[in-house]
Amino acid sequence: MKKILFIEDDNAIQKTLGTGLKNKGYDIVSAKDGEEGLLLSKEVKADLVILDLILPKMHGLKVLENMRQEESTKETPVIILTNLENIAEVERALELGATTYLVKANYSLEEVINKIETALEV
Amino acid sequence: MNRLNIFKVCKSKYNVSLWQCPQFMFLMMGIVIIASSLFFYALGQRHLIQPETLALVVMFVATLLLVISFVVTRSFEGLAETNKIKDEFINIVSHQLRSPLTSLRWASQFLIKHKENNLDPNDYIEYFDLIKENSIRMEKLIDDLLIITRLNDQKVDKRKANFSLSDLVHEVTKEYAAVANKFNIKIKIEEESIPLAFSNEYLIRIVLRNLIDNAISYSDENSEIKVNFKKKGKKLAITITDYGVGIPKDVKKRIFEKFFRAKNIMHKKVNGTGLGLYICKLIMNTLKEKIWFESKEGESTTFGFSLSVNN
Repeated sequence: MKKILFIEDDNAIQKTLGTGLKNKGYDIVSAKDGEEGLLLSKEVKADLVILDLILPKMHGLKVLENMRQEESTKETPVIILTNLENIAEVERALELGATTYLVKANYSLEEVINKIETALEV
Repeated sequence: MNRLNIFKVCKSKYNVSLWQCPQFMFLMMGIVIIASSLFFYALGQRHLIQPETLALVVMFVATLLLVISFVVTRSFEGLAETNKIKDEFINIVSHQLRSPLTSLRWASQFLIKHKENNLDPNDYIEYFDLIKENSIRMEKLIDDLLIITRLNDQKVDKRKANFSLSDLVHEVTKEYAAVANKFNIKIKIEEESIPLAFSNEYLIRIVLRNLIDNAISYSDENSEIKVNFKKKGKKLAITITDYGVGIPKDVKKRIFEKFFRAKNIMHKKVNGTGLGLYICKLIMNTLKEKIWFESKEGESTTFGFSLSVNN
């Protein structure tokens, strides 16, 4: 069973996307802030990390930067899932090695789940 | 060197083209002034006999052009700043509205496909709660934006009347009791016989809501918030003190700015609108009353405002 670390502070997004992915048979580990997310990324051998950017305690890009400096997480695929759409954030995320940058507002829940499944198949 | 690169400055500071950029306009006006001075000097040399008159003419023309260029570039600077502020405002507001809207949409989509998602009817309440929570979030942002617009356009009813500030504080505190209890934060209101305040009760209620909301959000768990009253001459002062994160010294002068959030509180209230204190300041300015704060980072913060006593 593939494992997904889901770092997101919004209850509704956690609940809907988290449950949607569980129903598809994935093991979901949740974190509600950046610090917890970073800690869990080192402890849990996730096959994929879904990372929001505006997070309590530590910004998502900082989490990604730290992950890329750790031996155990520098190759872990990361999907950025946020509502921030400015070009500076997108470029920075891709520079730091994010696999994909998804703007939540542009997709339905089903579309996001499909994209996550596709990323895990690669 | 970067500051001398006008193109970079124009793009990064104002995000405008060169011809709309105050720095570039100032440079162009400088070149025009030098060229005009040389032109008038050359012209004067051919037609005027006295060098003193020539010097005066050139100086007069140069000064006149300098004043004009100053006025022009200042207005360009004002326009460019406004443009940048407007763009930042739109970016922030769009993000703040998009987030709860996405949550609403996904929760609704999830409920619509309840069979596919193996949802138990007992789970429905949780999703409806999420829908309600996010609707309230959006409503709060829109309310905040509307009040700002009305205050800025002077279209708010600012008539004053006598009312009990103490009663108002108790009412507002009751509204936040559930949230405060959740984190075991006790709100202690100093009981003292105080005269009636003479102000706009509706607007002061908004100020109190924002200050108490902030005090709770930035307090440590199991702490207390103190509300005190003090009569000083013809004024009645109220202070709200929390024993939480405090405000760092280097950001104190920005605390009443729109959307400003100090870095040390980002982990406490990520979902706030960032407009609360800006609204408080606008309201107190509209009512021609004072608002102030004192804070020590890591210890406590006190916000206070004063109102006239009953008329």
